[in-house]
Amino acid sequence: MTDYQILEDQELLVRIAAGEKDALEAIYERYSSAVYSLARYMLRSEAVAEEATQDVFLNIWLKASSFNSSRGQPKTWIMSVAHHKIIDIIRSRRRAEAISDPKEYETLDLLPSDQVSTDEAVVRNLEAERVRRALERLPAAQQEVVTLAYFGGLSQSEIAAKLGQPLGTVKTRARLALQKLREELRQDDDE
Amino acid sequence: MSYPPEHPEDLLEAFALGALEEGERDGVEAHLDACPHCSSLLADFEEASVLLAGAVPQAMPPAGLQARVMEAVAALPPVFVPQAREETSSSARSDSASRFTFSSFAMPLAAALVIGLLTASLLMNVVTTSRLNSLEQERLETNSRLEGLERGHASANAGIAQLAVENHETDSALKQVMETSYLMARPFTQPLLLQPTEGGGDSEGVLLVTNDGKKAILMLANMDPPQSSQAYQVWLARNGQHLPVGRISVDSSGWGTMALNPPESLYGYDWMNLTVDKPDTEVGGGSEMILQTRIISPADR
Repeated sequence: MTDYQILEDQELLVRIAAGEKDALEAIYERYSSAVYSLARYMLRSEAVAEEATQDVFLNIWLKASSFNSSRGQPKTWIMSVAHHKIIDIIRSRRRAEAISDPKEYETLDLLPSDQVSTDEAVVRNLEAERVRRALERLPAAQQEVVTLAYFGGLSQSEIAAKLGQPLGTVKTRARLALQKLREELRQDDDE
Repeated sequence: MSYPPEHPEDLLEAFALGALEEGERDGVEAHLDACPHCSSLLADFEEASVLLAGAVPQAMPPAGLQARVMEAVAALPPVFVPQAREETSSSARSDSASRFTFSSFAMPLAAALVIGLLTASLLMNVVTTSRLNSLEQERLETNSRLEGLERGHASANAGIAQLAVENHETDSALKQVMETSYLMARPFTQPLLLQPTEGGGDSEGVLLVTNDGKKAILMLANMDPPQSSQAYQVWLARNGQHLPVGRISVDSSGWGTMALNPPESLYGYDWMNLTVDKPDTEVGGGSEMILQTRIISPADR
């Protein structure tokens, strides 16, 4: 009898790719909160966030064999799958509602943290605070691009149109922002 | 080191931020599956972007969601369930060959299946509509044929009924012929000739009577066919009294035959008369007499 709780993420993804549902349950228990929190924040609806979370884990079940360890950690891959799914929902909803001005995503403080009932959630909220501080240290123009793209679901060309900037400028800002974020957080780790 | 121009390096940061259009994203995904170089570059960007995911306020999903996810997985069609295979080591698969086992095969297959089903359902819709129209046409034609058959059936029933009547008439006629022949063949049968009166033209009749007078056959010839629903009335008369004993029809050639079964011997009467039968004719009254014969008993001859 395999104890899935002690297996590494990578091993769990291999077992999911082999059709082992217990492995998916273990991955769910590890990442459902992170996925649900991101969905809830980006989608602004708990009901839609639940549906999105369900879809994300279905995608993980279906795509696990495409996980490539050369592309990074399993966690990065899982959150990338989740983020892409959530963005798909935002865009299809936007197409349906003809909403093109997601002003509410321009700050990160709109939705207060709640349900901090577990130690794990407390730790994650501390990490979230750390990332928020790193984000706030970015130049405003880079922060804007990252926020509109990552949390708002806008494409690069939509951002360029919205900001009245050339597409190349937007790409550069995005690249610099990601590099700087990574450096900031590595520095935090080193401190 | 230079790279082929198809390396989407300038799209990788946007890919990590989720800022590509869907079509671009799919292209980059496909490239990443086969390109360790771009995968490695992307890893750096995603290391940062995944941190953004952790910047949002944290919340726990509802307790029942895990069960719903597992139900949804269990409800997937079999084509979406990865094939079980031998367990690999925990160092897992960084080689690209094993990564193509499921997604690169089953997903296109599933997509093709879905497209095929959609196409089939569209075609079925067209075919079904066409089939429905055709069925409606067939239904109308069938109804029309049924009505025709019903008319034919009614007509056939009427024909059968007519045949039964005619058959019965034929039987009756045949029986009369047999009786007539028999009576004529009997040694003591008396033939009486009915002769035309004024207005009777050249018609005539023969009355065959048995010896005891209890049975008789009346045969008519050269009669004018009466108008429709009319027939000739046969009377027996004595002492100024007239007794109707039956009606006799003639065919289109003027021939007619009937059997008589009088309540008492014909020889108890003096005359047999034949008149045109009219509904308003008084009994034995003044309707036009056509034929007449004096009844003479064998003993009187």
